[in-house]
Amino acid sequence: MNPFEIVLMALQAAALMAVSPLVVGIIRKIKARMQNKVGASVLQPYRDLRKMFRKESAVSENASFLFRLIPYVCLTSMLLLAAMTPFVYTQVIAPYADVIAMVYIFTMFRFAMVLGGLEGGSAFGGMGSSREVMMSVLIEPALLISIMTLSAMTGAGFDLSAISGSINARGAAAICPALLLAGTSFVITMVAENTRVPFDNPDTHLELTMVHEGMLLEYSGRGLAIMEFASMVRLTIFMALLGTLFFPWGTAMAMTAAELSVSLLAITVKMLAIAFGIALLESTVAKMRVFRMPNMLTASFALALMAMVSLYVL
Amino acid sequence: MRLGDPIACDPALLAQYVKAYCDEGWRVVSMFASESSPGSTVNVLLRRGGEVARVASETVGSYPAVSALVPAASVFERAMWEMSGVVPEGHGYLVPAIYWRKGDGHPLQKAPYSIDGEERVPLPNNPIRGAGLFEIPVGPVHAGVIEPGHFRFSVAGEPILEMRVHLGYAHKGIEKMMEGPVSRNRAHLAERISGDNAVAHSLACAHIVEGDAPVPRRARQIRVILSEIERIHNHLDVLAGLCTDCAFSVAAAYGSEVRERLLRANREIFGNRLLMGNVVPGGVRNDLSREDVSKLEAAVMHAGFGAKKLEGYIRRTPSVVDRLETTGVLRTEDALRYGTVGVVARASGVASDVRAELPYEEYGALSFNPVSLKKGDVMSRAAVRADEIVESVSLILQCTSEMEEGEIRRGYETPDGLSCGIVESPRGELVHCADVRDGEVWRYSIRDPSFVNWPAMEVAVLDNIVPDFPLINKSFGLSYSGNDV
Repeated sequence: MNPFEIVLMALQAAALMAVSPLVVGIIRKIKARMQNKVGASVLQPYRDLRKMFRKESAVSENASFLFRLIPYVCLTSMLLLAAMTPFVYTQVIAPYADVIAMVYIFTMFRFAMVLGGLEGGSAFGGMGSSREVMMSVLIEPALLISIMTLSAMTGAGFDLSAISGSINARGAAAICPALLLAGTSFVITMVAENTRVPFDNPDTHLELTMVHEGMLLEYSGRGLAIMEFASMVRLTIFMALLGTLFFPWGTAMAMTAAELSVSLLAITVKMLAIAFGIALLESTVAKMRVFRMPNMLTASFALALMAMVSLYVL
Repeated sequence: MRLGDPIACDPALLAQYVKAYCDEGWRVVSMFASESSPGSTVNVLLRRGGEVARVASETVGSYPAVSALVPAASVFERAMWEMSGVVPEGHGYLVPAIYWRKGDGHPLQKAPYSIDGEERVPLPNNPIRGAGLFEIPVGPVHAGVIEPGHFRFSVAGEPILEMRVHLGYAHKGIEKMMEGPVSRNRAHLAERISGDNAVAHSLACAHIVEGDAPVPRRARQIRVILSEIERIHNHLDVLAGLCTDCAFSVAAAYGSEVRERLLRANREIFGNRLLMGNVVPGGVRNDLSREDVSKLEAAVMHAGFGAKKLEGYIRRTPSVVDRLETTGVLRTEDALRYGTVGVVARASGVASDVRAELPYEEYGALSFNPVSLKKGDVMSRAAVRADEIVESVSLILQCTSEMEEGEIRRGYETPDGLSCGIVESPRGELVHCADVRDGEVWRYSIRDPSFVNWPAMEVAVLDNIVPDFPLINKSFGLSYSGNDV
């Protein structure tokens, strides 16, 4: 790895984090347009973050030092993941970009968030946390298996860059039932993991139904800004993974100006398409009952399992 | 409506009297204490279809609780105990209903009452206890922009085992402010009891002040139009709110838009978005020009079609139907037991509608089909609202097509004695009562439909899960301000 590549990877991770509020802003804008509303500017999430960063942070009397620490744990785990995620250029911090490490850094993030929800000592934090845990025990295996299906399919081991590169190199020949099934499973886990509709309503502060917002309820000021930002980055990472692992065509494999610019264009189009899909989903379905979530997540797990099995059967 | 002489009874027998009436199919519609010397007169207002009866009992200090035999009386007795100092002996759940403060004396007694030295009554914990059970306090300050109310949930995980509603945060003392010379204009005050039901409250108040003399026909028709527009915008608000609460954002945005257009038309035609200031004692304030009538018809038709379309969105989306059906079931027997009224009762198989049973204004001359469904879940309540919007549109169009030129206001005289105004507000049967003595309102009692429907919600949420509570609450569509008067 030459120094130039390292700079490029750092740039890529920084870019992924920098655009994440924009991604959220675009989803919100599309949703607003679908509701016949003008909607806030796509830059609004940046303004919100700037505003929250300037405000003082109030901490509950019941909270321990963990409460203050947790936003940084969340931010750090997202920083790590951003560095591991193929975005414009497939060669990331390989060979450290490992599938299993990635899944469990997501788990670390979730675990920290659940703890943060409990720390404040409020009833809503506890409710949000308990629902999040219920969901996460089902998300984790589905996520792991759907990505491992790819590694089994490509024979590229657990290296994210290698998986992405291998599927990319095969071109259209890579499209097979396993890829599509695993991709579908991944989409469901993406929606659930990021607590979007129909699993949770990201726009509501309706206290009794909250999952994600419930855990963040006690945070304010800088703590809240960091948590919100980390959640935005998480959504962007998931979207990027969908675009570069499952459907990696167009992503640059070599470091030439031509390939990089094609790749930049490709990832922009993919991200916009995924954002549109999420907005469309959120506009056409209602939030499901809490007790229906396990069914949906089990379906996602079953799809991932079928993807894995189909590799060996078909 | 002027009420005749009451059936007087001994306080010890009051409960038996009321029970005997209820066994014959009567329903307690209101209860209030009016001070007399040496104690207070406990008035029980009962209704069966178009008949209204009053049982009155001179009480000093305490009397055996009516609610021991008739559960629907429970919430009234709590309010009487707290506000007028009449103690119901043997009441099973004697906690404040409105004011939640303990002071020297009682706010609705005639003796001067001072708020200095008042103490807040602590909110009671739910009686249910056990391992793994949690009590979740919610409110009165909520995360969204809604009225203040405190809810206590006892949950085992997500299912609700017990829920108690504690209101009173919007207490304004309107019953006390209503007392005084009859000549004083009370309509503007009545409109502010619950702003979204301004027409219904001012109408109930007008019915008391006007005595039994009818107002001009044109005024009666305009009053019907106002009442029905109010019903439409309230129902639209609930339907849109249901969509918001289950994150069905496109339909929610559409419903809010339809309602907003209607409110803007209200401002243009009647000068106020919530139709305040239109119903006045003796008639209505603003006449409608020919041009106004056609604007009105267009606005109302638009709202009617909008409501149908919104209902279609809800019914055609399986994920929404899944949330609404079988959620928050209020069974027919509970609806009767708690004396529920309005949409809540009609969705649970209790077909009670003041407009049909005790017609006021022009309702007797108009034809409409009272809506009633059986299941009592959130979906039924939504469906009743959607159907009622269509009926309301039809009622308004009937009125506008039959309108003739004429006066819209007439003089009136308020009779002494006890009179009541019973109207069907968008939330259901609304009752105002006034005890007029020598040209002075001695006691004014306001019974918003929310007051009797809130206790029914405590039952409807049982065995549901906590995240479904907002939907159930919205489907009841109750007023906090109207409850707390």
